[in-house]
Amino acid sequence: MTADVGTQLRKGVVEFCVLGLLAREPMYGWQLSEKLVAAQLIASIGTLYPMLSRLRTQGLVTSYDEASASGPVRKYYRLTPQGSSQLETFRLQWEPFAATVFTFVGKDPE
Amino acid sequence: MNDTTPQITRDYLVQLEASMSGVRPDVRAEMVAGIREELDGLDAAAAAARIADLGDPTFIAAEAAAATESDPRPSESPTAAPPQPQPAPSRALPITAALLIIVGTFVVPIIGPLVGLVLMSFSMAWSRREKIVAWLAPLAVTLILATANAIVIAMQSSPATEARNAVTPGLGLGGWHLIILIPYLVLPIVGVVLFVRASRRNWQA
Repeated sequence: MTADVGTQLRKGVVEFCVLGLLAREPMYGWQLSEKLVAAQLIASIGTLYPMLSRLRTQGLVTSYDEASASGPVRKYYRLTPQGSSQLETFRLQWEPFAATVFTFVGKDPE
Repeated sequence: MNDTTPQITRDYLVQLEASMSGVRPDVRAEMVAGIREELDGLDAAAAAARIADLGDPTFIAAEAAAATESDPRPSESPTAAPPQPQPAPSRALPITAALLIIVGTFVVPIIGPLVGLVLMSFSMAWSRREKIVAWLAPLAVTLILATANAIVIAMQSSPATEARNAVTPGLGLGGWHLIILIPYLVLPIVGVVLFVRASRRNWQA
């Protein structure tokens, strides 16, 4: 309980946020990093790549090389069917879980 | 990267790679490649802006190292075969070696402890330092006693004591006979010490 609450919450959900982003479209590292840093889900791109490596090891994400619109060939990441199914499972659980937590920590209506 | 790559990009990548020595190699390679892709083709001004967004390379490296600390190595994935347990080293050789050093002199003088010391040298139960000490201890004690004995004999043969010694000739510290006793005293002690130290470590150095 002594660790920063925000850090603990982020740790639990940030991988699913990556899956959620990749469910919309395949993305390259910087694209993902920019969005996650802007949302303060990660502090820097240094956290992203170990996470991508973990997700790929688990078979949830895969990567491929493709020339981007601006020219250079980039490594893109996309969801695997297993990743999509994992994300769906998380979606089903997240809402009731958040609602349950709120019943305990939410302020009483005044 | 080519010759037109701005210096700021080169410097940043060099700094990044240097900072990431503590990061798992596969993650490090992927991250450096990803950041290189991102900076590739940008002129100096655009690269400087992107580098500012990326942040301090030492911070990025520290984050990456922290994030991979608890990860299993790629070769340690759940599907990989579990590592085979190392077979326990045989205790027969070191025990034989220690016993030969302890009692070898009494059974077969000189040869017995010598064989024990040779077996000890080939055993994995002791460190190199312990092996060197075991070899040198009897020699060092012999040398010290021989020197002390020679000094005592020289003192006894001085003019002041010569007359007395003429009646009862001095034998120094018990004469050279004492040195012959060394294998019977020092080697068993060396053997016991080796035995105790190795047995405490389950016969592994």
